[in-house]
Amino acid sequence: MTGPPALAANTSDAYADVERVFLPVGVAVFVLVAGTLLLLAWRGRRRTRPRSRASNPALEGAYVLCLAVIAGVLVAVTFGAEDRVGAAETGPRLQVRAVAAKWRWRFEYPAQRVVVQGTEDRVPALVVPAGEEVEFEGVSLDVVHAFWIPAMRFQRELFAERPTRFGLAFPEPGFIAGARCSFFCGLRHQDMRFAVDVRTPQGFRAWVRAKGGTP
Amino acid sequence: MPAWLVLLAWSALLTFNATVLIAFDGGTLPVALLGGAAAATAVLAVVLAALRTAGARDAAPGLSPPTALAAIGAAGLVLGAELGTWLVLISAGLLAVALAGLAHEARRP
Amino acid sequence: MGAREGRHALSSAALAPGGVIGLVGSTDHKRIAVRAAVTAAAFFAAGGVLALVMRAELAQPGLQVVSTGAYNALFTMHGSTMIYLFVTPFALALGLYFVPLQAGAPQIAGPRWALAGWWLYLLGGLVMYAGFLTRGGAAAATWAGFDPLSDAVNTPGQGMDYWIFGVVLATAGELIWGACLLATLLRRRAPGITLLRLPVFSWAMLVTSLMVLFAFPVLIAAMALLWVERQWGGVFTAPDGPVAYQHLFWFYGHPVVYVMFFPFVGAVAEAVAIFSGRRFFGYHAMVGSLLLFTSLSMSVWAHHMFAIDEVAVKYFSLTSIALVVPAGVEYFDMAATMWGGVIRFATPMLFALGFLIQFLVGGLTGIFVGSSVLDYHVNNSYFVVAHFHYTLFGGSFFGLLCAVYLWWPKVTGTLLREGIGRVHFALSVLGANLTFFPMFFLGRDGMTRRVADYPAAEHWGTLNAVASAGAALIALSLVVFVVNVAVSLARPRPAGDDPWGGHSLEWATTSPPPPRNFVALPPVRSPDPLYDLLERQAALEGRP
Repeated sequence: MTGPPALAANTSDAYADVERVFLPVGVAVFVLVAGTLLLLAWRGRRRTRPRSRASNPALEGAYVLCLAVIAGVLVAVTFGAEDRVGAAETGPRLQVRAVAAKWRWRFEYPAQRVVVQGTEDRVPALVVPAGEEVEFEGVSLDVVHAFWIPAMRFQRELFAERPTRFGLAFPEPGFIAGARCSFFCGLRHQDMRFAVDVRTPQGFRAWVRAKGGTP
Repeated sequence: MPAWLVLLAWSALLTFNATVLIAFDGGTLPVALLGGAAAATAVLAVVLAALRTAGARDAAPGLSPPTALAAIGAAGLVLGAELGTWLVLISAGLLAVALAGLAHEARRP
Repeated sequence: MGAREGRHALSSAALAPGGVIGLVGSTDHKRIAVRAAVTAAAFFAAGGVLALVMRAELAQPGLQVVSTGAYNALFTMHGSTMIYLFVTPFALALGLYFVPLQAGAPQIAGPRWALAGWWLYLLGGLVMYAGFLTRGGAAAATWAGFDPLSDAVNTPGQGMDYWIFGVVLATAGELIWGACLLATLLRRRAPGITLLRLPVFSWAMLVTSLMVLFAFPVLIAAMALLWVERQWGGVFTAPDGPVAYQHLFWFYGHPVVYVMFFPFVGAVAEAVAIFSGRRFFGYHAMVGSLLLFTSLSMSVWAHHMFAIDEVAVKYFSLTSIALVVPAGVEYFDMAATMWGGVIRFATPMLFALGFLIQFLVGGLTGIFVGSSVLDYHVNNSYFVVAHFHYTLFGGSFFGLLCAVYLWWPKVTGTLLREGIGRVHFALSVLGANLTFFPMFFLGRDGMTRRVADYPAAEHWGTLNAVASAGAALIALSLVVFVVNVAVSLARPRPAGDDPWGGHSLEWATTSPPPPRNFVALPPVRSPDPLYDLLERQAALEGRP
């Protein structure tokens, strides 16, 4: 039903590359426009006679062209990063099934025969190897949830009977806190959190063995 | 600038957007929604162009209690689907009285 | 003017000869509009109280004020109130009052329809709030009612059903108003008033009406389908049903935020022109940009769905970012109107400037989240909450206050106090920015929305406390506004026909206008007929 898996490069890099353009442009436009408005308001206090010209099509036309160019650049930057987020990598990948249900996460590693289940008292840790692309299949067992790892600058909505496929690459080993469901799913939505434990590839295999699975 | 031209222009803009959406593989429902809005606007434009003369001036009275009653009745009719047949029946009654009142308003010069 | 005359002025504006029957059955568009505005203000107060409770809860980590379930109903009803029951109807009410006047018409088209619209809106709001009285409490499935969360399995209880009917009735009323406004603008203009001689505000109402007419019915359909789903199931079935629901909902859900914006940008345009002492600059460009802006607004809705597989992400990112073009034209025209103007800082102008600068923050952050890659991070976070509160509160609500301060004299025949107005303005700016600016950082740092609580370990307590303090300031600013209203009514100062030096036709009649709006119309050969008269007068007297 869904097409070939949408695969991702380093999503936090893609985000950073786009923000690096959008943020300065946004701040610059704000300073320019707000500054102009305030300056005009201030200078207008002293005037006694208003100017009478009520249009300047040439100037306005040139301005529209500038706006279109800016919009074009922003769109191009977005499309470029979007294509990278969709870029396919080759080679065998670790497959993880992220299952969302009110109000816990479960992570299944089908090839390794390991399951990590969140409980009432404990938020589950999604264990992944660093430096290689991990292919996810996300699904919900009930309402719409969303899989969000703020540190990776990435989220996807998850639906029942409709697998959502995406790939993530975690560059460095380390412990990532703060991952959570980001689509309101009812009473305990705020408690539906998980952690990401990024290990070295050897550390990952050791973890699989410790969980009784086949690395 | 005639009124129907404004609507036709807006419809043309929506049609353009819908066409681009198709080029981007928008999907059936999105295209249907945007295309539908474009088409509906075009239909209204055609209707307006056909209605040459300005509409008859409203002979509405300054006070229209039957209108209020009609709105309440209509609302109750809809709400009755949730709250029960009793509300549907009462609202139908109110609506009937209101419509009679509106007909009476129409008859008075 | 004495107190008695003041009360008479107010009564002739809002109440009616005819007592209670007049109050509920008047077909005068001006009285309907005032009733709608007062109804909207009452719902605003309710929605504002909900927000204050929410901010009290979020000020510190831990659940101190309400339970999670109660909080979920609070934010659902807060958003639903503000969108369905306050800003949208108030924006349309502005049109109901001033469109016939600016078009030189004696009445709105379909006055009985307009009256029925108010009743449907009022009843819809009451039905929605009746949810609080049900055993399960009010609806708690967000203002969008996402399926399957909103279906009978996941949100049982009558509160959710009442919410559905509330939305349907209120939206039906608003839809009728849109039709009345469009009919008035397209077919009831006085002779000689061509479309391109309508003021900017009327054009803003025209494009608003187009969005109402062609987007609102989709919401009503979605709500009807949701109700059927709750009764018998089988409508939004997996796997694609929930996504289909979001398409239907957001096809309405995006244009509605523009319905909540354009009437106020129109009012701001009027204020900027008046208080710069100039015609509005770039009238034709402005009309063109209004048409482009609104047609784009019908074409961006799935940017709320970027995080869903298989949505045409690039298309909706393209159309969303393209919005910068018509928006930029509007800002250019505002600035160019002020350039070379003789600026007067009356309270309407203060709120107009506040609108322009704060909406700019909202609009630019809108371009930010319009980029799909950026939205993959900040979607559904407090960054988005900040973005839309800057557009809707820092923007539309300030524009609403601009409109109120501008047109209050026309509606009531009295003046609001300037001194108190300035205090109101200053507190509003402080409160708005203190409340919503920190939320950009919270969101980017990973705080998701629709949460009653957050872990203390995330260190979000300080920024949340600042935001909650800001909310208290907003409340204080509204108290000041109420004081202004009370003082201005208790000891009224007569406004006269045209206290500001207005440009459009509403200022060419009494304050408030007589039942059929005009005794006689001045000649109209441009969008600024009164400005033309002033210029001609000055020329005759040999003044420059």
